[in-house]
Amino acid sequence: MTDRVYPNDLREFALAKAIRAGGWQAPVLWFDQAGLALLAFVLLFVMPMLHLAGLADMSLISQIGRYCALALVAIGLDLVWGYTGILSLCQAMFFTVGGYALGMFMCMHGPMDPKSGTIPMQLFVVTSDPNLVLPWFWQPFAWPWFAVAMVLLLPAIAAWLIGFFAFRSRIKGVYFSIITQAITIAAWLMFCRNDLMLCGTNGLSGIQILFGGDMRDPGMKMGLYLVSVLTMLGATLFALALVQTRFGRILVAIRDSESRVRFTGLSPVRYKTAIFVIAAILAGIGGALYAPQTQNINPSNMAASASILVVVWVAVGGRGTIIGPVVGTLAVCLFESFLTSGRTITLPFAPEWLNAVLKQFMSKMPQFWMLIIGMIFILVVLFLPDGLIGRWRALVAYVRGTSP
Amino acid sequence: MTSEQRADWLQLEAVTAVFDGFKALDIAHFGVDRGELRTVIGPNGAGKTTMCDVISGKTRPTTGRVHIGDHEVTGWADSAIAALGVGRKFQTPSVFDSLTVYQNMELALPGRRGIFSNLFRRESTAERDRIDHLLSRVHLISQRDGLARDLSHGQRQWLEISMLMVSGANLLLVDEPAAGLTDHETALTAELLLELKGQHTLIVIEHDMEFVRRLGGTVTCLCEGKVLAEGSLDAVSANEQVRTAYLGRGGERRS
Repeated sequence: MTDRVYPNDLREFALAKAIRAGGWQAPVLWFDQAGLALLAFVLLFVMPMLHLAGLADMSLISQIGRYCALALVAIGLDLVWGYTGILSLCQAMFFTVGGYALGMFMCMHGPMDPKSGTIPMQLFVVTSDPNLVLPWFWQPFAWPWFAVAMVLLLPAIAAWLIGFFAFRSRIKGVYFSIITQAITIAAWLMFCRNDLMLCGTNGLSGIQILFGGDMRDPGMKMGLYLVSVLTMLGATLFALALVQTRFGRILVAIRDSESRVRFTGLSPVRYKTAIFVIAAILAGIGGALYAPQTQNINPSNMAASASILVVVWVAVGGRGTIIGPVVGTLAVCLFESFLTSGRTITLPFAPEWLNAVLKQFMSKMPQFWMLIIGMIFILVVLFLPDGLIGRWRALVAYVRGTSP
Repeated sequence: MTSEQRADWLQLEAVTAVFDGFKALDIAHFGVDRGELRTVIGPNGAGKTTMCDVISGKTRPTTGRVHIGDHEVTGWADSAIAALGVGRKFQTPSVFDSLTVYQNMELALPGRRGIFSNLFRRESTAERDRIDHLLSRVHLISQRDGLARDLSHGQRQWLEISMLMVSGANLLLVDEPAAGLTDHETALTAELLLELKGQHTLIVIEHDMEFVRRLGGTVTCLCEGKVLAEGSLDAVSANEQVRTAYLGRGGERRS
């Protein structure tokens, strides 16, 4: 091709080269990163210090550790939904499967049935069969490397199967959401069955021994809290780096115009499946970090509503920003914990009747929490389409006197 | 061009596309030479876009064969046909709205279809220069780092054509590039397409006769899925059948 370049264009061409050399980046995003650094500082330094000073008790630390594990699921969903535009409603299933994989490892090293001495106590919750033998698939979970591999592999394989066949058949949008939700409900029903030998609706409860340590021990709790925070921060950085690559831009391109991607010679199926698998692995890791901290993992962790909650966290935080969903998860979970803890708030200087109303309101919260979260979701969709992080960016832009 | 000629680079042989019993396309033979700029005209519903769908693999032909170069591509996946070098510009411009103009171009670069190569590789300086050069050519260089969603309709058309140019596609299917453009924009679009001719094989669908005249070259007129006439614009527009087709059947009956 013979390029005819006009004088004006040459000048603009030089300008483009100059822009490129300067490594120009949106200044607002720099504040995102500052926010992330602040979050890391608070979680890794301030919280343990507060604990040592006696201002934050272990249950709060452990709670935040669990929320960090949940944030991993939100990061995964943001990659799949926020960046690639696929609304998946089965993230909680991957989370629970990861939790079960590590939970079975913990069972195999926890208290055994005194009669046989080789069968975890948890299996006797759903059966009284005295001749019970250890189901074949339990045995390998005694090996730590096998259990850890399964934490990653089981969700990955499940996601690959769902993703590959659904995406290859060009199942999109709401149809994909419905199918993933149906699969989750099917899996939930399956896990509830006693004859699957996964302890039925009770799940794996009282799992306490992890790598020789006892999860009731404050040292173990603090250790797992720090591991959860570090994993969550690591996953955030990983996801932020991932979306900066050409791979990440292809994901956004698929969200914008899948057919254009196809006519560019790229196969969307491959990319959608890949990101779906990555999200599932993140969710699986989240489950494996969550289970020991609650010392419990059961089928209700993958109830249909659990996956929808992940969607709410991502939407509240801000889709397609990675940091947003992390903040959204922590904010919504802390808010939920505050409202449903059963404590009463008394406003000073407020009239008697207002405090009475408030007390009544707070006492009803455990039942009404799901309604509140639904309302939050609707309000966010209507008034804060960019989520909390969108507000933060707007604020930064306003203070700096630039447009966002 | 007679039907005995079979040396064409792109060939459609006895291709039909039937949707729910409706024969949208019924082409005995359609061939385009390498490096040719072919314009396809025809009334609404003549099957012009369906023909592009069949060539690019978006629609599988019900019967018949499609050859591109040495390959028979009948029934291939659309991304496989695209990887062979068939680029497409849609009727309504489709670019990636949330990416910058530059990133749009960068995604269209040829090669690198695997996931792992896309995780680590970056474009070379030569590729960057090529993109910037093309963007200068279509007056988009000042919007280089702006989002594609902020472009005007004409700019989006050019961005899409530029993406085809940078992709190294050798067969370009261009669906109504002049639709909704100002006269000035139309002129630049025609200029761009003429520059592509020779290096690339082009099939341009267009309604705007002034634009078709500007492009020159061979014109194929489709009607009701069939090739009605082929030749220069003057010859085709003088064709009695073509005139009837454009006037509609009502006119035929009355005469």
